[in-house]
Amino acid sequence: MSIRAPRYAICGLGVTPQGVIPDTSAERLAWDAVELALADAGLARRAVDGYVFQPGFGERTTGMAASRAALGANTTLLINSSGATAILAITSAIGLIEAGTADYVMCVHATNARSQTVTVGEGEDTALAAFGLFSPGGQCALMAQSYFERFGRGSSDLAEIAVALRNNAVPRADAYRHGQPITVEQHQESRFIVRPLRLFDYCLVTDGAVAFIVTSLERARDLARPPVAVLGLGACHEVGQAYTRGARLALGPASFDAEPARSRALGAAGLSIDEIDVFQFYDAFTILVALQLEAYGLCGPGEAADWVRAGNFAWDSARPCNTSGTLHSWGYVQGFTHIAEGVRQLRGEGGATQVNGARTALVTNIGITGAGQAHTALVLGREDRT
Amino acid sequence: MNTRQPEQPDSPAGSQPPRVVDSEDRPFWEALDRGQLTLARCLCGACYARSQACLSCGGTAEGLRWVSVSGRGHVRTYVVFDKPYHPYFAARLPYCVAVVALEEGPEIVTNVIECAPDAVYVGQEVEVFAAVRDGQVLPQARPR
Repeated sequence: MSIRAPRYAICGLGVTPQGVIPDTSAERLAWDAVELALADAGLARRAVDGYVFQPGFGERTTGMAASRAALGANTTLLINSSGATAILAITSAIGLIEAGTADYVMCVHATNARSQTVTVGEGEDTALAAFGLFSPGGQCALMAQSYFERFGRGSSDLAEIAVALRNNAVPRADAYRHGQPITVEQHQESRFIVRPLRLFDYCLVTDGAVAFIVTSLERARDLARPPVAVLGLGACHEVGQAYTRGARLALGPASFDAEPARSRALGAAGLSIDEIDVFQFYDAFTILVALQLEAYGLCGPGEAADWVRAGNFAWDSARPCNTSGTLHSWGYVQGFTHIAEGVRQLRGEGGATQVNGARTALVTNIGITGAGQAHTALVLGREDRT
Repeated sequence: MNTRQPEQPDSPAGSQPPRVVDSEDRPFWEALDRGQLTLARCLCGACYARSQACLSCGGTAEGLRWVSVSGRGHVRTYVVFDKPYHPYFAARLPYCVAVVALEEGPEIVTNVIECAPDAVYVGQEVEVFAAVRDGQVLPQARPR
């Protein structure tokens, strides 16, 4: 994969509070995030001429926030590849800019699933429902059981990841689980949801929204905030191949495949994994973190728990990952959670868990649907990253 | 059995989630309704439990022929649901959902029955067969 000079950047970020936000529509949360992103960038509302959004669980947004915020949005895209969408929003935004239909693209995800008391996966009507296989957690539990079997691991290994995710959120005032550490024992005492996954293997469901603005690097340089450059993008979709009746599992439960996404994103950035300063791995379930730590080569196959147990993963370690506590402990804005934290780290806005001098970030997203898996990867960098 | 999309079982327990029958996959379900497990075999020998283009040789789905198979396979991975996501299954907790690798290659999502959920294990030898569950015919697995 050829190295490309960065041409696009995230020039504005809007993050609402995350948690329980009653009596507030998802559309209102989206609008709030849009206003925060505009203010952050110092950009005139009419200048934003593209709007890309992912509807969330709970009330599904319709893009109305774009008109409430009086954006100049000429092109509006609704996209949804589940948890893999946020990075695809950047890909789509760059496409709109390249196509000449927009110069500044607002990317938005909002959810009020917590206040709507949504149980993700309840009553799904996929082809798997007849067999009682519901929810992303059910799919990830299949991966976990297979992983345990293959490497002789167990639930207490995944507990290490849950504890590490929580530890990164504990100092962060903006995290939903701020100041609430957990122990391996508490993880092991938490109830099973879909065996072998326990409650603390699952991420949060919270209310909140994130918006960010994508534009050319050149335009971003003229705005209020330091640009965060898009250095590389990659995707690896196996929709329709995994877990459907009769397909051979191209993405098997034990063989999470990140390779096409990993090699494209890092290849375009011209960076090796050792040149990444901070990592934000998609963490809807602890097992996904274990599989990604191994797939991205931060540790060997089956060694994720030992690697975390040795002190890696912590925000103040040599290998800082998921520095806000992300989906597990910060807030559930799907893949937008990880992009927001990547941008904050590179702008030095990571608060109590800021990684000193972070210049490059790897962000990943995973979508678990009834039809298969979607994995996307993004490399972000500061302009002075040399 | 007459097949519709999605099917609506006529039994009193018809509240169970209906099996999803695609027009392309109808032969699988029609054979199952006759008590036969069939797979779609490509000219190159690769087998699928549904109509699709061949992952092995790149051939079109038109090259597939439905053939009877033994149903022998093993549990590749499994889970046990403790939380209800659907009223029908709420009354059946805990229950096992497994991915079974058939001898011919395909891996299918099914349930291991005639076996306690906590007795299921990865590598367990099972037989996939046409089972009638409250009036609905489904491929299910049992120890062999």
